[in-house]
Amino acid sequence: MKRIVVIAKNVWKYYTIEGKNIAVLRNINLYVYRGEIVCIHGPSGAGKTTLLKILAGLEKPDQGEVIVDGYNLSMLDEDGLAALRSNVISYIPQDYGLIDEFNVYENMEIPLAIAGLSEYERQSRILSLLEYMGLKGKENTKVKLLSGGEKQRVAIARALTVTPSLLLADEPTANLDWDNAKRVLELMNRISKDFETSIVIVSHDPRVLDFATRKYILYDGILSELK
Amino acid sequence: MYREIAFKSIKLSLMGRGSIYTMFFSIASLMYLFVYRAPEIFTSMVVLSIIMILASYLADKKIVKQFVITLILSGAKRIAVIFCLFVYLLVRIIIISVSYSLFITSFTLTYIVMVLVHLVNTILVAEVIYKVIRR
Repeated sequence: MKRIVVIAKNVWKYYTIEGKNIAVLRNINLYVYRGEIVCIHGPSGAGKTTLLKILAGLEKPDQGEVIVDGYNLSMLDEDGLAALRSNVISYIPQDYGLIDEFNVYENMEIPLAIAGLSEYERQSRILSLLEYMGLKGKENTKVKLLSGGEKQRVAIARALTVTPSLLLADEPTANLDWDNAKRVLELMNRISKDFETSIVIVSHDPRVLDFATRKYILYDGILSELK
Repeated sequence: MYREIAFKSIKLSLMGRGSIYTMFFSIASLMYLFVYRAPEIFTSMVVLSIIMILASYLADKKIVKQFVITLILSGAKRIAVIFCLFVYLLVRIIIISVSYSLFITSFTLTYIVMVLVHLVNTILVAEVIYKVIRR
């Protein structure tokens, strides 16, 4: 039987806009098995990024609970959530979240330095991951000089440095042409098989759904599974 | 862990455009202090230097934001992020302090208090920047 990595139960999230409480997520129930790719599709403003941030522990739900790899996120304080992000959950924001002024190696080194790995361990892990991602020889290139597709692959590589159980990708194909987008999605497919990493992708692009093991639609804060 | 990310903060602080502005400010301060040699000028330059530090941060806002987001997503604790921002600002303060150090020949209690106020102010600014970016 496959292990469940993510359980989101009865999750509600409200935002206060002009004094009114507006529900952006309504009674979300979601589970993700180990090594599968779950795609959440929905239009802009449907609450996709909010849901992803809640799964990453970057935002707290107003009601309900989220359990990732056995850890109940609502029971953890800010430092506990940070520790979880350091070795269990990796989040890739839409704008890649890379430091433009640093080179690829330095960008990838940060999570490993935080995790407390030695310089030798950091170097060997970064170089092997760059080779895996097809970015060998790019380690000394500044991020601002990379193409959109390469930036996305560096962001994925950085997310994988700590071998997380859960990888969350916010609109990973939004800034890419379809050829590059396909390449990134195929890479994610390979990652989920090779590392048994569970991947949750949110996207407004319906073509991304073809690469998912399970598909969901998020519309007006309500999540429903596509059979 | 703190050593590695502190080095990255120092590098970021020196690479940013704001460090060039800070250097220009430091040279200008030195000229003012040596031409006028008045305590009023010294005090006003110290006050201006606080504004300069904030202005130099604003010049590099984009890369600082990228750095802080990277740290948060990589699992750095709140205290580690604030420490990095403090180191980033401290480098800028050291650049500015060069001119004051050349001007001051002996450390009086007033100067020591000023240095302490500057350090406390830097910690507070680091925390405010963290809170703004975290939001």
